[in-house]
Parts: sequence; structure tokens; C-alpha cells
Amino acid sequence: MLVEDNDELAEAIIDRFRGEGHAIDREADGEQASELLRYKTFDLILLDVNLPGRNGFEILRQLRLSGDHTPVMLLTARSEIDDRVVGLDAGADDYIVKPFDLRELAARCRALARRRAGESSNLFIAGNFTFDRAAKRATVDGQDVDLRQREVQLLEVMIGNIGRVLSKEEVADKLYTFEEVPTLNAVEQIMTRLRRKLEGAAFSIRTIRGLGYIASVRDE
Amino acid sequence: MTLPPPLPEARAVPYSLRRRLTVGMVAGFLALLVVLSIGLWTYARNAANQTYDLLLAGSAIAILERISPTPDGLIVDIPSSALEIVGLAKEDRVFYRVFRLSGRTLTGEPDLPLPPGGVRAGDQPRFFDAPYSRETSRFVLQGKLIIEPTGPDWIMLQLGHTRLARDTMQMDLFSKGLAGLVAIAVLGLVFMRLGINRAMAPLAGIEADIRGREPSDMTPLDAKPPREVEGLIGAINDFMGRLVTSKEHAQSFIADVAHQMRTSLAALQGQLQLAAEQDEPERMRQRLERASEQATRTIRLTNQLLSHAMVTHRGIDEPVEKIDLMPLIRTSVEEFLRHPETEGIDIAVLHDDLPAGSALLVADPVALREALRNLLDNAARHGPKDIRIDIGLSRTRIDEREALCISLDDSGPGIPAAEREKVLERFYSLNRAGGGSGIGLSIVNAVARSHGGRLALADSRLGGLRVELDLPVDGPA
Repeated sequence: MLVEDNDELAEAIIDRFRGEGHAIDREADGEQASELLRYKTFDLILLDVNLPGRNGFEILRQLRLSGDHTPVMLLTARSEIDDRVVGLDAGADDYIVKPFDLRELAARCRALARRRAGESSNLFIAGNFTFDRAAKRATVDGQDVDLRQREVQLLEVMIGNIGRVLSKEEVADKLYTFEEVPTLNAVEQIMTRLRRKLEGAAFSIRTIRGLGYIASVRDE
Repeated sequence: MTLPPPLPEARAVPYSLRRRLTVGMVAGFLALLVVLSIGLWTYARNAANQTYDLLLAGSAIAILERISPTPDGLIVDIPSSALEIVGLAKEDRVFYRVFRLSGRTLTGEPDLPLPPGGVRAGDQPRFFDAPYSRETSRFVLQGKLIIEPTGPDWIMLQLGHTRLARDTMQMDLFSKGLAGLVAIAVLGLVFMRLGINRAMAPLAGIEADIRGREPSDMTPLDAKPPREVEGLIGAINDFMGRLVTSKEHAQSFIADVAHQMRTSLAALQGQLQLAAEQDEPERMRQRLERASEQATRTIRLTNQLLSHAMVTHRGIDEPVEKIDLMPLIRTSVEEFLRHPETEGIDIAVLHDDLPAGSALLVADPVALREALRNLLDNAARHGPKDIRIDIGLSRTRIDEREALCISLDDSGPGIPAAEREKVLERFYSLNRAGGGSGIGLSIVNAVARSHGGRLALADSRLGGLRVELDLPVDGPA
């Protein structure tokens, strides 16, 4: 669902999404959008911040208060970062600053939908890469990847933090219990092995020396 | 989101220089009057005493002269003139007593009070005050050695009178003196007040000058200020000078922006029109792609311009807070790496000298993030797909002040030394074709300046450009 009061922009976004085969509803007024969201659920909500009737933050806050966890992508015209922070605090999953590239918007929305799908079905899919949380099984191009227990744990941690930098220490904390003595070297070794096994996958983990690791999904 | 400014507290009435000076001067004059009055009072008393003591002494001598021994005994003949001289004021009463040193009264009031320290033989007059007959009276005591048949003996005369005449004279002297003093004090205050008004007059003139101006009139004040307010006038003139400069900057910025936006939009419109005129679908698609690229450039330009305006504006009035640079770098890198085109980039953060939590400085986080984003974007935009970027964090100094240095080394094409000065200016880009708007580095430069820091460009050990952003730890001076 798209909540956007600018007709031209809304038209462009709707055409793009329909072109990709998605059904999309549009609402221009904040008040009406809020009403609609009360009884209808969507896979994803694209929400403008400056709206007539009711602003995006208010709609978002109300949505989250009612226990609805539909992924929300904020469309904000203001380039002030303060706005984005407020949006994320209010419960947005991502934001994009206007004016934006429709291709980037589509890619971000796919990422959001993927995250959502992975959470509910235990199956994470990114291009040629899949990971089944329940079966602890990963495939690249349909081929099983042979993973050891630590590597599976690491993969789970990284999939849960796509787009976020994790320091080596943070990764170690998540991989090891209190009794075990984690060594940062061990983390590095597991990471190297995992990365080698995932070569060619659309899901990849990059090292940022001095900062940590970041997982990302390549859009095809 | 910005909080509303705190409600102004009930504005205190500003203090008045005039009143302060007046109150101070009146207090000073009063203190001076009190001191002078005490002196005057003492002086008047002494003067009155001296005058009347002379009379008292004269009368005493006249009386003592009339005491003479005869074979039949002593004759004491009190001349009435002597007593009259002493009793000058009508209400004043006169007392006397003639007695031997042994204490036997020969004539007069036997109960006159004796001087403190008792009676001593001697022909020098001794003056003293003592209470008698319910009033303070002034006495003189003087002796005379008389040779009698029985041998020499001291005959003492104590002569006194009430103080009415003396007190009257003392009051008279005192009140005349005091009247003079008060007159001088009042005159002094009047002149002082006039002086203050005169001294303040230039200030009122300056106020009238500023109030009477057109909002656009920024010429310096031409008041000829007294030395004491010269600094103030100088500061006002400096301030107006800075306003003029800032206004000129804003005007030139707006002019630049207008030009850039129009050019960019005109190019976009041109591409679209060309596309609309194409009949062949393939060529139309090519034109539209060109138009789309132009739109992307326009969007980037707009974002950059707004970012520049925001950074410049925030530099002026945003309160700055103490922040940790590491999380800020971390989120900037995260945000940067979210763009798909950064996939091949090898990025590292080197902060060996600064353990976690120690990269603290007073700065505006939004402006700094904007600066970092532009530096990273620049490196990615102008470098190869697999560019290497090293972000460094180290301690440094700016003129003795502690500072942090955020550096960015890249393996890109770099900037020739001769061009480095120019790229810090607005709209100067070496790579317009590559989408350079010519604003990125000038944003970083604006951030450096608003934080009291500096921006330097150099050759990198990675082969490309090295950017050093030095920021003082305790914020702009």
C-alpha cells in the first residue's frame, strides 16, 4: 500500500510496482489511510511523512500501537537526518529520502519484504541463496552448502543483521556462551571459512577492517 | 525535530546607569557629610570653649587679685564686674567658691564639684566640665599663694557658669558650617546628574541612529563615541560588517544555486523534448535514458545544495554537543555500504591510537555525518569500482588546542596539487561528466569552518587523495 499525496510521484511508483507484478493500493489522505489500515492488512506500507489530514509519523505510531508489524518504508522529503531518526523511533523499518531513484526504492522494498518473509517462514531467500533456519541448511544455486555448527550460527547472526556493522567482539558475544572463551582469531577463521563457502552467493559478508563485518544482499 | 525555544523568563527591568551613579554618589556624599559634621561639631565646641574660657580665666584673675591678707585675716572682695562678664547669657548662672587648699570654704557655694583628679596647688588655671545644679557647667580652678602671718598658704578660686552661652555659640558655628556643606553636596549632586546626562547623550544618539535605519542599511555607525563606549560601537560595526558578509554570501549562494538548478532542469527538459520528438522507439528509449541520467544528476545536485544550506545554517545556530566519533563513523559507513554500487569497495577504519569511547568531541553530529557522507560519496563517485578507502582517526592539534583528525585515504585518481584550493569552492568540479556537482568538498569545508577546524587535501599513501578534517575537541572557539 502506498500513502502519498503527490499524484505524479504516486503514479510513477504505482506503475513501477504494477510493472513488477505487485498489487498496490494508494491513499492520498492521512486520515483515510489510517482508517483503511485499521481493518485491512498489507505486505508492505510505503508511507509519506507530509500528508494532508494526518502525518506519516502519527499513522505509523498508531499502527505500531495497535500491534501491527507490517514493514513500513518512510518516504521523506526533508533531508534532515532528525526526521529519519524520529521515523525509525516511531517504528519505521527503513526510509528513503525524496527525490529518489525508483529502482532503489524497489530494491529496498524487496529487502524489507524478504526480511519479513524470512522471519515468518524460517526460510531466507536472497537471489540464488537460501537459508532454512529450521533445518540449518543453506543452498547456493540450488546446491547444498556444507556448514559446520559455528558457521551456521555465524550465518544466522549475519542474516539477522543485514546492513548493520557488527564488530568482531559483538559477533564473538553472539557466537559464544559465557563459559566459552571467545578468541577474536577464532571468529576471523570461522568468518573466512564461511565466506569461502558462500562464494558466488547473492548474500555476502564483507569485512571492514577496524570496524567489523557487514552482511549485504546483492540485487540481481 | 527541533524543540520549541524555552519560554523567555519574565524580562528583568534593565538596570539604569543613571540611577546607579546617582545612588552611589548620594551615598558617598552622605558618608562625607557625616564625617565632616563630626569634625565640625568638635571644632565648634572647641572654638566656643576657647572663647569663653578666656573670659572665665580673666574674671578669675580679677577676683584672685582682690584677695589680700590683712593683719585681721583675709579679705575677699568679689568685684561684681567680674561676675557679670562671666554671666554673659541671660539664663546663664554663675557659681564661685574661694577656699583654702585644706578644703575650708572661705566664701561662695561650698558644694561645687571638684575637678577630676582633685585639687592641686598652683597658679595656672585649670578648666573642666562637671555637672552642677542639674546642668553641665564649665569651671576654672586657679590658686594664689598668700603670705599670712601663720605662713604661706594657697588660696583657691573655683569660678564657673552654666554652658548656655557656649552651647548657643557652638550650635551657631555648627549649623552655619553644616548649611554650607549641605549646599555644596546638593550642588555637587546636581552637577553630577547633569554630567551623567551629558555623558549618556551619545548613547541615545546611537540608539536613535540604529532604530531609525532601513533594515537593509548596514553602513557603519558614524557616531563619534567617547572612549568608554568606543569598543561597543566598534563591536556593533564589526557585527554589522559580518552580517553584510553573510548576506552577500547568501546572495551569491542563491544566485549560484538558481543558475545551477536552471541549467540542470533546462538540460532535463531538453532531453525530454528530444525524446518526445523521436518516432523511432529505440532512439526514444536512448533519449529517455539520457533524460533519466540528467534527472539523477539534478536530484543529486538538489540534495547537495540543500545539504550545503543546512550545514551552513546549522553551523550558525545549532547547539553543539559532545559526541563519540566512532559510532558516527560506523553509521556513516553502514549507510554508505547500503548503496548497491559500493559492492566492490574495500573500506577500513583505522583508529589504533583511539580506543573505543575515547574519540569524543564537541560537534554537531548531523553536520559531521553530512561531511563524512560527502567524503565517502566523493571517493566512490570519482574512483574505480574496487577503490580502497581507509578512514583514519587520530589525535592532533590546532594551534595548541587539542583536536581530532578524521582522515580519508583513497586509491582513486586524486586531485592535482594545483587544483586542491579550487575544489573547496562551490560548483568547482574536476569531473562534471562523472556527476560531480562541485559541492561535496565545499560542504565538508563549511563543516570544518563552523566547527573551528580545518580541511586539508594531500597525496595519499594509497595513491589517490588524502583528506584530513581536523576538528577541535572542545568545539569552535
